[in-house]
Amino acid sequence: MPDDDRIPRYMTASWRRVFRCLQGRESVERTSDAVTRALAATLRTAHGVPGLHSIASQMQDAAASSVAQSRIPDSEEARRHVPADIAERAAAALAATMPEVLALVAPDQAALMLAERVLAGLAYHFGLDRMAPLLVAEGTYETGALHALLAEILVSEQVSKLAKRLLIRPNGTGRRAPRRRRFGMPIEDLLNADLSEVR
Amino acid sequence: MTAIRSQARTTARFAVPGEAPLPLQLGCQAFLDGRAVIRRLARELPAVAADLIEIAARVYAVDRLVLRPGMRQMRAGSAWARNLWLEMPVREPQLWNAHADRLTELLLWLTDDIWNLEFFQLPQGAGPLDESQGFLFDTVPTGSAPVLFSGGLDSGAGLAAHLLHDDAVAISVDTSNWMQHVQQRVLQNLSTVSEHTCMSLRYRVNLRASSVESSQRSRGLLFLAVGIATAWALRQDRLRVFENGIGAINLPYLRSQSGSQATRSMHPRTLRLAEELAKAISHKPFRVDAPALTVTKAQVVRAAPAIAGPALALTVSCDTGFSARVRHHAPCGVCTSCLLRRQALHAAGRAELDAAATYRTSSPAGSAALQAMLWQVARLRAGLAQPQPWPGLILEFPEVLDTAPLTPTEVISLYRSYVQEWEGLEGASGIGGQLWRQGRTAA
Repeated sequence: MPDDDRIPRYMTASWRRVFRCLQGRESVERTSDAVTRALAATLRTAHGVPGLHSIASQMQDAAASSVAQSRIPDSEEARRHVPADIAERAAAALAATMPEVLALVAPDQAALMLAERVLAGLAYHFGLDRMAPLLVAEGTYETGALHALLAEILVSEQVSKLAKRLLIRPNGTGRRAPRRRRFGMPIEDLLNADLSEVR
Repeated sequence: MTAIRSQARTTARFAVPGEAPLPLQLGCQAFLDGRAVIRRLARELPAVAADLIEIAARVYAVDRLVLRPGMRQMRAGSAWARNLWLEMPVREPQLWNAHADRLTELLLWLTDDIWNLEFFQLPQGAGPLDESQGFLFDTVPTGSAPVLFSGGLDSGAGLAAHLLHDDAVAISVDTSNWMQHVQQRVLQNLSTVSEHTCMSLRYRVNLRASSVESSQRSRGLLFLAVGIATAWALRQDRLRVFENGIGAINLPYLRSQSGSQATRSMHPRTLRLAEELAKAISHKPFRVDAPALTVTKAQVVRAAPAIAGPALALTVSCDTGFSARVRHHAPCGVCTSCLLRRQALHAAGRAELDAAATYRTSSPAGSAALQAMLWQVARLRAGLAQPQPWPGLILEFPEVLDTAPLTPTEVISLYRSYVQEWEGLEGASGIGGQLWRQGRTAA
């Protein structure tokens, strides 16, 4: 039976910026900055995940019950709102794969774990998975290397900071990417540095 | 006045929030024809069976008449779900109202939409599947297994393998003359496979009103409904479907897909929910038997007898292959359905069946669908390579949590075979090797 799968490929301007970073093989630091900005923009336009704390709490309950569910809590909201759906899927995945960890950590820590996973899910949904096949097809990356690179970007400090901010204001209103603190290079190092290192 | 009231009582209505209800009459906006089946069986369908088919046909019509949210809304985080209200006449309104929850649960899973279904009494003999003519002879074959037959590669190969050992009743739905023609030709060719007989029972469903929504995610319900209802008419308590595990589970190719954007027509959960609905409304045991759920499409093809080759070559897998608007009805060759078929034929060692086909686009080069499929293969490989493959697979594809009653071991084995099949094409010449290499030029 023909499937007629729908595969969204459109990228917003902020995700296209990430695409260009990856195409140009920019550093992980620069690319993760671009990803964090794109994620913050996505949270603003997609209205965040208002039920994040409640989902996190139900995730811990589900992990304790050891009954595998495909969505936690499988709400109607998730059918209407993509970020909520991503969050419920992420909660189910965490509950199914890390029940022991979720049983030991405090609710705040569990919520942070979920928030980080939700951001990764949003990044893949709205951007990274839309561009990854293109980057492989045009020969910029080998699939395994790209897979590992994207995973590395999504556990960067910037993304983690954004996850903490998402927990403070889960609906995404006014959410901005955290600024990266840059330290000036000592003059002596600067004089000896290669030009490409001081971009 | 009587005529007006009578018409009102046989007409379904549907609506979306904030809009006035619109009429939906089978025979007017949508068309359902089961006369060929009823006459072939020389037997009326049981009331609940006729209801099931008519409900599925109406749901299918509404699914195609109401537009899903556009891309702009989806960019703002909205899913593509709709809220749909449908009120329709049935022969057993109390029964259906009592089990509306089961039906809406199945529809929610299939379509992502929130359906609000209401049922009222259909006057006796007023349904499109009611037959006024009496029957002299009962021609229902005894003991033949009812099987769903779509005209696709899985159902063709599965039926060919089945006919080696048993008779079958092939139940199909066609929505166009071309689809009917393909199904007939494949069945004619399959009749030469063995001495076992295959009786064909066909329904016709299509829209007369111009449809606005092309996703038609409720099509799975339509197929299963005619299958289950016809099995009841055949006094059987099981229906057989031959969908392969990869196509049935249909994990999203990219994480940009959400919900039923990756179709679930024959997903294990769909089959389970349909089975539960059938049991609830008939008050009898019923089983949807899907023997190919644990194997890949290539393995389904491999299990078909070599003599079935000409029949399999006639099957159509393309997303647009049955569309009447496509010139010469040629399959595109580059949609995910075509690509999975081509991959399966090459992996099964039946490349000649692919070579015999004329595709609208002969080379998969640059196909976005192929790039997406190979990215999915890379993610599957990464998940399966974890020290614990099941958690690895869950973290990469949380959707595998929906695959019960398949066990984690069965799912892991299924996807390991699938990944190995793709990797096996790496050194292949011709289109088989191209399929693999196209998406990973840098590797």
